[in-house]
Amino acid sequence: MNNNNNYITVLAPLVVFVLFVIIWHTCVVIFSLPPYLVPSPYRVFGVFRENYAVLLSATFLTAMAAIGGLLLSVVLGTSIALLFSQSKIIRQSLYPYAIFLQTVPIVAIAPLIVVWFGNGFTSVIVVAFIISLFPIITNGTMGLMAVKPQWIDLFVINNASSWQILFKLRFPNAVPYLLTGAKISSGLSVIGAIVGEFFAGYGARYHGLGYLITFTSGQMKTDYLFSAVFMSTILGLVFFGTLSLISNYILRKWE
Amino acid sequence: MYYENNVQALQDIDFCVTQGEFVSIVGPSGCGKSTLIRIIAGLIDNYVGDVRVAEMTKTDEQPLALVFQEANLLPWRKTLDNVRLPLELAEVCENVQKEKSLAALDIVRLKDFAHAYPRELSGGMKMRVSLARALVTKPQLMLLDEPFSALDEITRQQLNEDLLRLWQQDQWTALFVTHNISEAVFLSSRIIVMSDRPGRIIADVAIPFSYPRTPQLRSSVEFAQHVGKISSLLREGTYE
Ligand SMILES: Nc1ncnc2c1ncn2[C@@H]1O[C@H](COP(=O)(O)OP(=O)(O)O)[C@@H](O)[C@H]1O
Ligand SMILES: [Mg+2]
Repeated sequence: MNNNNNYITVLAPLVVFVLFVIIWHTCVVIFSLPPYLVPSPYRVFGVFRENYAVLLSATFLTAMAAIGGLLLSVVLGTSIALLFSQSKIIRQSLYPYAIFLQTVPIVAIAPLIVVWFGNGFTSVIVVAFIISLFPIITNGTMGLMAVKPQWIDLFVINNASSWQILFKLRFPNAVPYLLTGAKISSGLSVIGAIVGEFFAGYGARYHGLGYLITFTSGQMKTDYLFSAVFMSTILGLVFFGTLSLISNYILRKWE
Repeated sequence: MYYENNVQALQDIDFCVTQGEFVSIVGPSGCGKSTLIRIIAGLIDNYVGDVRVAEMTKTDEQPLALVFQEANLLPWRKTLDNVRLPLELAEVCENVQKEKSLAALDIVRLKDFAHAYPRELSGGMKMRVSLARALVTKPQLMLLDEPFSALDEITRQQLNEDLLRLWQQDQWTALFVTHNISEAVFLSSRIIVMSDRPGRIIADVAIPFSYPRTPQLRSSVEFAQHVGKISSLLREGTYE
């Protein structure tokens, strides 16, 4: 039963993918779509075979920037959530600025970040970091606050310090919430890294996926563009999948 | 004692519990029993009056422990680590923590489940873990706020017998809140009956049965008489 289910979770999306590629190909042939508008899957695969070294190294660099941004956001976001959990006044005065992170159009401030952090890896990480920070802060704060009042009573009766209440009660309670936040942020961090690479580069020899996307679209190399977009999607999926695995592993304890 | 919304929870409460007694408090729900327990536990401090709990006799003893209506175990901690919590918070050395916690689990007959998570335990077992966690600090006064009210009758009776056994072994003083009268009669050496809100003490009844008490006591005539007496006292207090 369980095994059967596992097969289906892997097989079903694969079947959808194959169907999608078939329909895509059929449409290109039937409507004779020009390659610069919609290249056939066959062409995209061809481009991928010719340029796989560039595409893979670009994916790797983008992945590194996204991981950097994600790690930073987990560390800083958790710290900010810990700060937020300390008093209502702190939450009330700082929360609007946290929402700002969520609402600011990242494309609009990315150029500013490049001005501040230079035209390189650091800027890309910062963009990925900013876009992934908000879910960690909100989920973390929620988890730190959502402790049963009786648990607090239990700790108070045993003369726990506020430090102990924070790290032996509130923080462990927040772990599942933080992991949910990190899962949401994992996808965002990839988006952030790619947007960052629209504006900042890694020098003349090394490129990220964001650069490949802007460059190939400028040159009307739509088939190349498709393969770069494809790699970005795969990267986002791998990030989300990895985070889900890590989260399930850690949460075995939390039921 | 008044809450912020001007609800008066308690009025003219005055009683004294001698060391080693098992005192139950019964009263209609909402009459302030939990409030009273929380005041004694030191969780509420904006009351008028005076609460004194016996001085600690040994340095490593906690004066009091509280068992709640729910087992209140932390789901991310194994049974042993839940029991260990009070010692961990007091920063007792790790080996001692483990040793004392295992001993506490042993007296509630759950040593085999030391490494299980709370979700793997039944309701009655969780409550026994909760008792072990309260007992691990060797308290002089145990406050129990309707600890068995969420359990089925059979489990409740078993836990009542367990509780009495533990109480006789360790000689702590028990203050036990319940709205189940036969439970109160079975356990207590004394029952304090409270009125509707604002809670006042309307009767203080001694229960003469000697300890150790056996399950057969529940079917005796004297037992039924005491249950009847407490019930009518409660009724009077409620529909005055
Ligand atoms: N935190 C609180 N704030 C305001 N009113 C409360 C609070 N806790 C309890 N009360 C009120 O005080 C009264 C006594 O409550 P409680 O002590 O919980 O009663 P019991 O445990 O006997 O059922 C109730 O009327 C309840 O509504
Ligand atoms: Mg109550």
